[in-house]
Amino acid sequence: MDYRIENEEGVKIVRLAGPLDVSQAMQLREVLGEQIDGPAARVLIDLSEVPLIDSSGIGVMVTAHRRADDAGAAFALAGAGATVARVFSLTRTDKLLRLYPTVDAGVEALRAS
Amino acid sequence: MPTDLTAIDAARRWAGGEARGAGIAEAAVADLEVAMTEALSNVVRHSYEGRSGEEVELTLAIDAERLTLGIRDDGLPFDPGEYRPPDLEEPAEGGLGIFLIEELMDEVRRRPLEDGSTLVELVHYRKEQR
Repeated sequence: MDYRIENEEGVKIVRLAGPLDVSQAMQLREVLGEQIDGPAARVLIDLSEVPLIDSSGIGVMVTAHRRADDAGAAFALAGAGATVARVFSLTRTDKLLRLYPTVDAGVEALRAS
Repeated sequence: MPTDLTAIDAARRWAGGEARGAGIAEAAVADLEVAMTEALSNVVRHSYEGRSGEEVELTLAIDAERLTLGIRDDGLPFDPGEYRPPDLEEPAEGGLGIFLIEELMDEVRRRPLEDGSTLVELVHYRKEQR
């Protein structure tokens, strides 16, 4: 899985590309841990180029969400396609995580939080 | 497939490609890809306890009625008695894999074979044919 991090109006956008499965989870956990580095952190995951997520990937997102909560930071996800959105829905993590349809909507929400 | 988590991607591409080629609906292919990722991840991490250098046998059968992905391994048998369904009201990091497999596939069969290996079959019924 490839990723790159961009800064847009104070929001760190982590753009992921490729399937997010168990073989990638540990690396991503570290990346997100580094980005959620304090109460000022605003971190948005761009999932628009992620065709598949498994339970390990879901677990990484839940951990990042909780880490951000504990730190007083803000963490959200945006741009999930149908397959990825279905896994969030089936596991009901869509009720826990902050999900936005587009990166723009996510950036706007995180700037306001 | 070698018992290595990084080998799951190639297995997924193979099965997904074959299923698409046989005319299985895209949403069902996506479900299969997630379900087999979970099943193979379980085999590598639990049946073989993360041990590399072993082989898992994958078979794919597609006919007019169904798609069946077979996963045969010689590792430790899965004990259904140890499985606890996840508490979805309190999302946790683990325990969602088997739940997802059951949700995404129409049928999941798990049985020991005479040679001591375990066969897991993930079945999708072809609704587009009905």
